[in-house]
Amino acid sequence: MDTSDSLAIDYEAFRNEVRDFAMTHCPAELRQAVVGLKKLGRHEMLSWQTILYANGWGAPNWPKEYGGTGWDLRRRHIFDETMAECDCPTQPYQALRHIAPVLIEFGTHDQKALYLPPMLRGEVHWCQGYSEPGAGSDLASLKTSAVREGDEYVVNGQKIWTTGAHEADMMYALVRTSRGTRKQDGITMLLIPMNSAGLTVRPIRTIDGLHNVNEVFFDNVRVPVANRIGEEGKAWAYGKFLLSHERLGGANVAPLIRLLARTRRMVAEEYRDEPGSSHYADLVRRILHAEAEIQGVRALGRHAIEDIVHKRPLGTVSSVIKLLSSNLMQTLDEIGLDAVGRRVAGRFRAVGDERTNAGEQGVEWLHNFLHGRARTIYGGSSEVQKNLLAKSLFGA
Amino acid sequence: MSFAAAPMVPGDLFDSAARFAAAYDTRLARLASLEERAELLEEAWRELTALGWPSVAIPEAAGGAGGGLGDVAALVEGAACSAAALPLASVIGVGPILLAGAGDAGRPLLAGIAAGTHRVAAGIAPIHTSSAGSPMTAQWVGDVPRLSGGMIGIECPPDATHVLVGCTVEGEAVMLLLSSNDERAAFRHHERIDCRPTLDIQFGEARLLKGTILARGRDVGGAIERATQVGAFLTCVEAVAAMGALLGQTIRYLNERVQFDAPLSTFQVLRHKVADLYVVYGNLRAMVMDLLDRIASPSAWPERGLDLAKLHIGAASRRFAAATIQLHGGMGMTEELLASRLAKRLLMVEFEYGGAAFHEARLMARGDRPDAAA
Repeated sequence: MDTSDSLAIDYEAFRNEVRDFAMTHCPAELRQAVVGLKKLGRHEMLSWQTILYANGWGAPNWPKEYGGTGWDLRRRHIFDETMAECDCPTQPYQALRHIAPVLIEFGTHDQKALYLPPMLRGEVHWCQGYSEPGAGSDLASLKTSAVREGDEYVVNGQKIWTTGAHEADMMYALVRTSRGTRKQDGITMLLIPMNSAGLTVRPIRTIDGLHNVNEVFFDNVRVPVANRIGEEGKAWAYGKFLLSHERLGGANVAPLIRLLARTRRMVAEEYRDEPGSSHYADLVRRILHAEAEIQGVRALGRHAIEDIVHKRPLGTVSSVIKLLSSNLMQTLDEIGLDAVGRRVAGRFRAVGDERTNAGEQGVEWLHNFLHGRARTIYGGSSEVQKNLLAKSLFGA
Repeated sequence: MSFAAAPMVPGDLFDSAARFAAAYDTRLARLASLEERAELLEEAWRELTALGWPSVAIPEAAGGAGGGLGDVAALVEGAACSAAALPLASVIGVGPILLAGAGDAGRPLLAGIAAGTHRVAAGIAPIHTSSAGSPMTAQWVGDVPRLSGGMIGIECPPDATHVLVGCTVEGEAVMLLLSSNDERAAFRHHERIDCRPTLDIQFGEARLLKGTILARGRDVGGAIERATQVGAFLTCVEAVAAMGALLGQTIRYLNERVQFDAPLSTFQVLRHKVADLYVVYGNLRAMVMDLLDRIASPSAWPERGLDLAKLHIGAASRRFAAATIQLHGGMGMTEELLASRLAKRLLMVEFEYGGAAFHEARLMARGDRPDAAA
């Protein structure tokens, strides 16, 4: 799929086409929100999705037969990179990039017909029900149970850190339907409407003071068996499929490059009246080092994509990219904190105005720093990535 | 199977240099006397001259092999895997690029290098001038340059015949050529922290250097700038090669060494430290390979990318060396270990072809403008 016609494709022309579209079709207020590091929710993501869908770009990573673009890996990468460069919002990734590929691979005809088109049109918002209080990095320890009763499963238990559950219409969840010799066995994937009776969403106010994630409780929630993906007890394999499908998500370093540019601009603005200060010089130095590292991780991403295109083994590069990208994001977050901290740390919240995205100019850099702590945890924590690398490096 | 670094520039040149350097490193490690070491390096230089390495980057018209920077990088990378104590990058890479700025005037010297009759050390101001002590200054007296102060730490081939000096005299770029026994200057030799031979030149209070001008003007200025950047780039190549080799040595050591009844490689804290080093290595390796591609392509020369790389890789090399010394047991790191020589090679990286302050100043002066091809 990636090699047959790639020689005939003018990738630079494609990049220009994407850039032109982004700059002319992405609403200014959306781009401004991205530039301003504002929190984006369902409305912003879905409204951008409907615009992309109208142009035939609703699902860059889906095959054409399901309404996707059918693009090769290089074009998908260029699309992601260019959209980020143009400060466009991310697409509803949990629907389009996480559950949709699993549905396409393992779902029934009816499931595909029911769920894929609304995702594409930006009509239904999805969330992921994986983590539990006792199952984070060690996901296979999950305990939320699903017991079959006739044509339904009865689900009981709790999910946690569920991003966007408070705005979602549907959840794809991993639940335990049996206990096997391996804890990875007996896990099943269900698609659960968020308005199901017995399902409760409670907000978690995260360290940044904002409402991004939730607890989700299941109290005898009844889910039709028709909502099961693939076979009962085999969902661990679907999760691994998803990981392999998205293993180079971090290869898109455009968000890093944009954050670098924003950080540089902000630091220059913040220290406009004290360009000779030692603090300013220190911040600039740290930005240069970050830029150098980004130069490397960008090259790593390009090399990895070429490796996939040419069917060369990837090895551990996805772990390296994940570690580098998440650390670099945090480095830039930290520079942001150091730059504005003296001015806004003492004015984190304005009494009398608790609206999201309200507050002192520059406070978004504090939110970013705090929220960004999770970058080295979600998507495979740094410690897990290092375990994987060490196993490969030491041969055991 | 445990980690083994893959070359960035694989091929015969890399393989040949890696074998050559490993063989001489084993012999050099046994010698403590500076005199004996100098003799061995002289033997090594004769052998590599016979192999044609000094002519690799010299144009065919001047009797060279007409190779490119990629060929030089392959040799330099291969040799760096054993921390070769030879000034390959500066002599076979930087020197010919500097001489190219002299046009026809430089051709006989290039031919001499290619033929193996000339061994030329290349000094560049301000890279080899020190801000402390007596930094070099230059004025014109008529058409004759008058130099004061000196240059330090110029990498020097064994038994050098000449010293090439790229500098600025009252704002004009000038290339001077001195014989290595020129009595108007005092020459002093040292061994660097990574055992490479270096040369200091002292011109004293004010020395008129009649007959030393090889070339002057804009082309010379361009050649000095290009040579500085190529020197910085090849240093980055060496640093990454040394990191890869040192990582391999460290992993082998941790797999073999038993403490508390278990191989050190079974302790998670050490495994994670090694993983951290691998991430640093992987990032820098990709950065250098990308720069090599950009340098080889016809699009714009990656000035900003090169400065960024050298700025970052210096400090990263020092941290890498310190971490691997710790992983080897710190005080147990002896001179006889290849790992110690690789670590010392890395410690030197920060001070070659411009330190952090040098490249930072260049980046600041250039502003926030990315390379055209980046």
